[in-house]
Amino acid sequence: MTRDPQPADEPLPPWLRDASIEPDDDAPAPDAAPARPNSATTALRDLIARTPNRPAAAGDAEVPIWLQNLLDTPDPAEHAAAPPPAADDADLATIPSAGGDQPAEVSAAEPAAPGTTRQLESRSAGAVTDLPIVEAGPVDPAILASIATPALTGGRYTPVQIQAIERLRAITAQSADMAEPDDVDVPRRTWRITIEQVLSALVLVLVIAAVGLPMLSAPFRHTPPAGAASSVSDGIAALGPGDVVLLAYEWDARRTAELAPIERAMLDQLAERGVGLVLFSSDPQGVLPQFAAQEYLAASGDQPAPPPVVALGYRPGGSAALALLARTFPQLVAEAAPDGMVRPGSDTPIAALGDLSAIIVFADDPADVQGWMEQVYPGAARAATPIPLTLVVTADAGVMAAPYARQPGVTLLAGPLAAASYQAARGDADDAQPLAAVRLVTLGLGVVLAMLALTASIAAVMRRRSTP
Amino acid sequence: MSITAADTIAVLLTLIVLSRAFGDNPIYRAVQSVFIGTSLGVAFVITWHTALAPAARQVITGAPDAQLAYAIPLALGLLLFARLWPGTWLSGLANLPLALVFGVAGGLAVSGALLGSLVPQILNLTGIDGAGAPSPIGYIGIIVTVLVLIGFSASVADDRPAGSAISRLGAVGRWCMVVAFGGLFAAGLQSYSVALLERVRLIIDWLTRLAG
Repeated sequence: MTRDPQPADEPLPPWLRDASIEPDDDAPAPDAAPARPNSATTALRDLIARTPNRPAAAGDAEVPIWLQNLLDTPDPAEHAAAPPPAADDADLATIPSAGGDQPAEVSAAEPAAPGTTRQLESRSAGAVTDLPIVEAGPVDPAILASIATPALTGGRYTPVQIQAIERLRAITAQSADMAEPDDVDVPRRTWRITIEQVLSALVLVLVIAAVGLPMLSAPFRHTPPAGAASSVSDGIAALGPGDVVLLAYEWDARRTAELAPIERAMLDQLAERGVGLVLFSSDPQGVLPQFAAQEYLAASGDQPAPPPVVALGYRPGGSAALALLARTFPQLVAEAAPDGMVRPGSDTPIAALGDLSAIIVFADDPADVQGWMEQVYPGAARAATPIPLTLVVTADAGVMAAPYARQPGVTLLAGPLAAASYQAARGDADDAQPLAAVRLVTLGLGVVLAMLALTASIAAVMRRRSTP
Repeated sequence: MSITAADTIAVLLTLIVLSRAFGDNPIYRAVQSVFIGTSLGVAFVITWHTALAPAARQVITGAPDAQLAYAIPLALGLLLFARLWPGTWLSGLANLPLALVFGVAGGLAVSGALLGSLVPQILNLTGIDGAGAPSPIGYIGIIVTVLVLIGFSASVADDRPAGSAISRLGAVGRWCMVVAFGGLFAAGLQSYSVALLERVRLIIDWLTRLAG
């Protein structure tokens, strides 16, 4: 239950209003002093004064804020009635205490130090009056016994009030326990070297050594097996000026290191053969490599003339765009090249997808390969002359694309090894250093991972043995 | 070969990205934001120039049949903005283009997966299509596929003999998945090590040219 803080002069709930501490009959009460108004705040403050380990004075650094507020705030009763100090002494003599055995310091507790203003603010009053209301009912005898005092036995507190006071006392003690000591060491921000950083440094050193020190990777510098790359190279070599090849750019610039070498090698060979090219992408990031390829072909000065290129650009829609390409390929080409793409050496424009001589898909994602195989390949395979389809993919996409390579007319070239194989098949693998560096780094990473796995296994076994 | 400003910027950005290996830092995060923003910006520009702007031109200045062909998708696309008024009858209009998109995409995906992936691969693996002789690897692939599918069966009671056997087969299927994930991880490792090598080579080349 939450209530708005009440001003000090507003009436308190009955259970708190009745929680007054009346002067003991035996206490010397000055005649001139007026009767002190009842105040729950006074009762709470007096309880605090009797609490063991209570703060010495307001302003103590160990005093919680909410308690300090209470100590710092004035008693409205004092402001209203302005009782002389003797009245406080009289009150203190009659305040109930916890247990019959009072510590000496509790019995000798004094009110706030002279000069300490005890001003009650509405916030403090609200904090007190916000306490939950305890419904009248049977009171735990243990609680009654713990706070039974001669004053209580005089019948000045109801059981519910006693329960509330005990709760306040528990809150006070708990707050004191929770107060954070000053001498706790504040954790300082320190630079710690983690295993991750050590491994990163190791890998970096390994990579730098593989690139900068070629003698380290010399044992790995052997010609890769030709494999499928040889058949692809032979297939392109058989093309001529009357052929058109569709190049699909489904990779982005992040994979340039892996795909650009084999792409450039293929572009060189296609340009040498004078084959017409159609560039297409269903991935917006694939347009950048498409532009780069156009610039590369235009800048290749060793060719008699750059091959005719029609860039279809980016077509949105993913699989839908590929399905549209398969169905309306001639229209798309006609839109991109209004003059019509006349095949070099032939006056016949492209009339269908089946007029293509080959399809080469550069992809870095298995989903791209799947899209081409599901939407375009069936049409290409059903053509009068089945169109060979070559999938040039990154190493990580090659694993998922491998099953498609078993389909008729499909060839898969995956990863740096395939790129090196293709270059070797073309006879321009003079420098095998990049592939050797890849092999060295891959081996090094494998060793590091194996050591990690071994260390983790040993640690797990030792932990299991040490656990009873 | 001289050093260009683009080379220097590329090297600096590469070094900042590599600094992430030794802990997160504000400069790395700033460069990361630059890359993400650049990528999104490029994607928007490409989409605008290759897809949106030509369509808008066709609608405005194209032949009547082209105008119609592009106006219908444009109208369907505009209907998506009806979602700006949720809870009204206008909002329901957006269901029309969404249904079209999801229907077409679902139809393409299902038919493509069946006719382009699943059936051809099964036929090819088993040699039924006559393109090649059935290979032991093909049958092993089919068996592994079935085992992996069994590994996902969670509604079989283990307290019966058949349930216990299926659970054991499912465990084998899950181990097959672990092996497959290991292969994927190794391939990814090779892929990204190539990218790292290329970046380090770029830095070494830049330093070599800087040293003259």
